[in-house]
Amino acid sequence: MKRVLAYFLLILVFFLVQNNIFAASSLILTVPNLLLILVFSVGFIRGTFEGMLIGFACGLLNDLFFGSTIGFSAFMYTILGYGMGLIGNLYYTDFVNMPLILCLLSMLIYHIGTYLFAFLIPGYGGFGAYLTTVAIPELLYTGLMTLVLYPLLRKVEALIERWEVRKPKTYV
Amino acid sequence: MNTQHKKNRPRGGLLILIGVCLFLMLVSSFSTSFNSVLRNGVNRVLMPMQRGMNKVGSYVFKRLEKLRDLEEIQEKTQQLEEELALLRSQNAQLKLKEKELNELQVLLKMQEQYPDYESLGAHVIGKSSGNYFQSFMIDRGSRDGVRIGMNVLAHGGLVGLVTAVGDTYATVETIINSGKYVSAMSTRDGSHFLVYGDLQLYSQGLLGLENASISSDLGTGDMVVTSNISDLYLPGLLIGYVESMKTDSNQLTRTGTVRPAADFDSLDTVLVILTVKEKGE
Repeated sequence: MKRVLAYFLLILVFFLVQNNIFAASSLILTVPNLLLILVFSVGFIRGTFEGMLIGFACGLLNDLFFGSTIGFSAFMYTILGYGMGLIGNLYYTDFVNMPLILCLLSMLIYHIGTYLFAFLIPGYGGFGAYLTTVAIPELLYTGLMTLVLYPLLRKVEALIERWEVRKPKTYV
Repeated sequence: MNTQHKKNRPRGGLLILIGVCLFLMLVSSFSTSFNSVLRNGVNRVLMPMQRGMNKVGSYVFKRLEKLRDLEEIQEKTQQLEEELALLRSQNAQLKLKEKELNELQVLLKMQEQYPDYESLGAHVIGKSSGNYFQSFMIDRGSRDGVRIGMNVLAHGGLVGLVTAVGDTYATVETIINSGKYVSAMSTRDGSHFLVYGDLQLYSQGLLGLENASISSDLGTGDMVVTSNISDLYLPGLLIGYVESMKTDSNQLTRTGTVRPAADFDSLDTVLVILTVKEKGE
C-alpha cells in the first residue's frame, strides 16, 4: 500500500514539474521527459509488473491532459515499462552508465513510435527534421536529467523497501 | 542494494493494459464526449495543484528571465523610440485619412466586415511536454463561456484554436504545429494563400506560406491576416508578416515564410475570442 502511495506521489511530482514548471518557462526551450525517466527507472529496478503499471499511469495522465488521442502515450509507456522490466530481470547491473543506455534505448523506442503514429497524419515533416529538431535535443536534456534522477530514484526505492520491511505483514 | 525482481509474472497483465490502451485510442478518436468526461474528472482533481506549481515555477524563473530581459529591453527601447518618431508622423497622416474614410463609409453605408470581437483574457498554466505537438492549457473553461473552435490570440497575433474544453480549463492547439494549415490573405493586395506550421521552419521562428498566386506581388513585410474564406478562423486576425518569398519551379505558385506576430516561446497570457466562426452548415 505504501508503495502504491509512493508511486502515486512520484508520478504526480514528476508530471507537475515537467509540465507546469519546466514547460511553462520560456527559458527552457526543450523539456526533458521526466516521466520517461520514471518509467524506465522503475521498470529496470523493480521489474516488468511495476514497470508497466507505472508506464500506463504516466502515459494516461499525459494523454488526459495533452494528447490528442487518449491512450497512445499510455500504450508507448506501458510497453517501455514492460520492456525495461524485462531487461532488468535478465540483466540487472549497477554499471554506472546503465541508466544512460536505458535512457537512450527508451528515447529511441518512444520517438520512433511517436513518429510512426504522427506520420499517419499527413503534412508532418521528414524524419530528419524530426530527429534534429525534436528527438536529439530532448534526448540530450533527458540524458542529463537521468544522471541526477536515476540515483535519486534508487534511493527512493531503497527507502520504500526499508519502510515495507519495518512493518512486516503478520500472518496468523 | 537488495532488489527483488518478480520473475515470470504472467504476460496477461501486459496484454490487458495494451488492450485497454487500444480501446481508449479507438473510443477517443470517435467520441469527443467520452474524452471530455475523462478529462474533466482528472482535471478537477489536479487543476489546483497545477496552478500552484505554475506559480512556483514562474516565481523562480521570472527572476532569471528579468535579468536576461534587461539587456534586450535596453536595446529595444532605443529601437522603439526611433520607431515612435516615425509612427507619430505617420499617425498624423492616417488620422486625416481615417476621417476621410469615415465620411465615405457613412456615405456608402458600408457594413462593417470586421467587427470588434468580444474576448476573454486567460492565463497559460501548462504546456504539452512533447516537443513535437505544441499545445497548451489555459485556466478558463466552459464555465467562462469558452467553447471548442474559438480562436486564441496573444501579442496581437493568432496563436491557435481551442480543441478541448473542461469546466475550468481549455486546451489550445497552436498554428505552429506541423500539419496545421490556416487560410490567410494579404492586407495589401487581398490575395489568398495558406500559412502552415513546419518543424524545420519553426526552429527558425517562422511559419510556412504556400499556394500564393504567381500574380500576387507579396513581398517582405506584408501583413498577413486570416482570410474570410477560412472555416476555422475569424476573418481579419493578424498572423504575422511575410519574411521571404520565392517563385516555385512550376511557375504557377509562390511559396515563402511568415514571421508570426505572436511569440510562441513566451506565452503567459492569451486572449480567447468568444465568437466561433459560423460554418454555414
